[in-house]
Amino acid sequence: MHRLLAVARAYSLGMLTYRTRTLVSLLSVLVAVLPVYFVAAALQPLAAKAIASESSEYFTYLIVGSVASFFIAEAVSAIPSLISGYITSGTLEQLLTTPVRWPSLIGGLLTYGFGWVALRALVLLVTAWIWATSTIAWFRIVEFSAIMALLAVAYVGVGLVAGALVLLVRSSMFVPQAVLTVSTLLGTVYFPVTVLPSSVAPLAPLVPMTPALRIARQLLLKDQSLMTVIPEVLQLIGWAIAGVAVGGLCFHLSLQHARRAGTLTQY
Amino acid sequence: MTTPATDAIVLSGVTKSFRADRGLVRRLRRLPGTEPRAVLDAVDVRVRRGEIFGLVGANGAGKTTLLKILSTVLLPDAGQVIVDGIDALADPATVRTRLAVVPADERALFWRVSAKENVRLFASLYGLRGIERDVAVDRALDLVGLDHVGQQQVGSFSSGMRQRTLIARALVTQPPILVLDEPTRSLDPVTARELRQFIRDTLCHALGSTVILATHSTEEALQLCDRAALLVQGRIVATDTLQQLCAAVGGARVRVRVSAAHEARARVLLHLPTDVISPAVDDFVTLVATLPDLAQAPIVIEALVRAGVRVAEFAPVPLSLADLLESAAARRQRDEAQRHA
Repeated sequence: MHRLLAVARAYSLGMLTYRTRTLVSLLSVLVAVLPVYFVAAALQPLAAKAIASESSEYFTYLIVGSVASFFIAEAVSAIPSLISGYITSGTLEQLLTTPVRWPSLIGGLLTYGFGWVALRALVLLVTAWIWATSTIAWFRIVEFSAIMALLAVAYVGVGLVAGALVLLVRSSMFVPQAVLTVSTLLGTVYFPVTVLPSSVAPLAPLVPMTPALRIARQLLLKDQSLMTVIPEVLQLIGWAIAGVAVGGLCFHLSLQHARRAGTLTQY
Repeated sequence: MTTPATDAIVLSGVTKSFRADRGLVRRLRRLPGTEPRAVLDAVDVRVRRGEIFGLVGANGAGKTTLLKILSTVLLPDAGQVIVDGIDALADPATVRTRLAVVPADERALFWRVSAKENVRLFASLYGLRGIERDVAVDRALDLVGLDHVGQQQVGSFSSGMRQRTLIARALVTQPPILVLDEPTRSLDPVTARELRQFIRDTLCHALGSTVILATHSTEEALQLCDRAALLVQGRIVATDTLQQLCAAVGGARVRVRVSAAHEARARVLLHLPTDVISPAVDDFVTLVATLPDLAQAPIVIEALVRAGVRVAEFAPVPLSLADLLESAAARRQRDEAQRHA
């Protein structure tokens, strides 16, 4: 664990030196709320019925969807991006000459990114809470955070597969973009499953985002306890275990391949 | 394989090939140019404890590949790698605790954080914690002379300072074996000399580390290495002290400035081709000859003078890496041809 924390510390200290970028990124969250608010207000009469089981206000429905999107975007794209950069600089190979194991290395490198996403998500939720007409169940924030963490873990598996592809063929083969697009379309980020065409609606439960957002909205917007959404919670735990197992295996095998092929660094 | 306690590293029959072209489509279609290219061919090396051992070779000879295999980030196709008595292929995790690598590429540092944080990270990765780690970090920075700038970002450092940071990072846990890949590549001559002195006096003599270093500089190898292996196109062509290697494969090259009028006579005595005429400067020509041994120099000078040749200069020419490698490769080819015959 202390090796993971050591990597997280070094990486975070480096990232925190980009002060202007950090500030602009945080301000952009505040600015992004504006159009969402007005579009949601305009569509509220149309959406009210379809989203009634998860939220009474389309604006907060979208905000919770956006928060989940932040987490999955980081989970699927951070690993391939870091691996690609570290292969080019030789840092990956250097770190692997030390006694650190790859899960600690990846965990350490992801810590800052997820911490930053959590902060941006909090800013988004607070801003929405100020603007929204409906209430947000803040005392359920710990359970909500746990669900977001589970969602992130489920998608980290995809990130590991994309990282494995970078190790193998120097490209993530658009896996992160494809998974993000499919998850956003089918995962009820912007609209409920009921408005999806009947041909694709049955696919929605196959995306980890769908149960995660159902749980998240029940907790935060409907003030329901976790016990009311136990099937979805179990489903999400299943996704998280399967994601990490499959992704971890792919990454481990591709690392072994890279050690044989000499592709841990860029020549 | 059993290794004597005096051996820090034993490489036996290490072979490695890479694909020349890594394009997926080209490889799947088995297009020309995708056949594996041999980079190391049955390499045997023994490095004794406490010595500085050089891997000397031209660019692309396989030096870095060999060091990567040693540091467990690259797997050989065949052969055995024993580091500090441990089989690196069977137990790479333990081997990683016994050696530290100083790469040729200074980009492998975290440029946005301080030198101290870079060294601290590696100390933590090697399992040091708390006060023990902080003391080790300060000591490593002090050893390489960066203690006064330890808090500065590595990105603001010169190449030499970054190289020192890489060395401090490797030294922080005082590993028994240090692997240095062209450590003076980006340094100015003065800093390079200081660093060589540091490697010799501090790393090897004071700390007792075994150092294996890759270089394509004969000057560096002569100054630093107790022994060296000459690597030519992935094959070890000779292993010995640098002085012995130079004497054995290169002979002694001398530069002789003689009167232009007596050039033909001088060429005969120096066993040089006689159908060539060198350009004269101030009525003198400069010839480069190879003697079997530098001890022959007085005899040759005397012969030239007796033959009436005016000798203005007679000086040994330092052997370049190119000369050394060419001679070693030629000698090996001769030996192999004789063996086959």
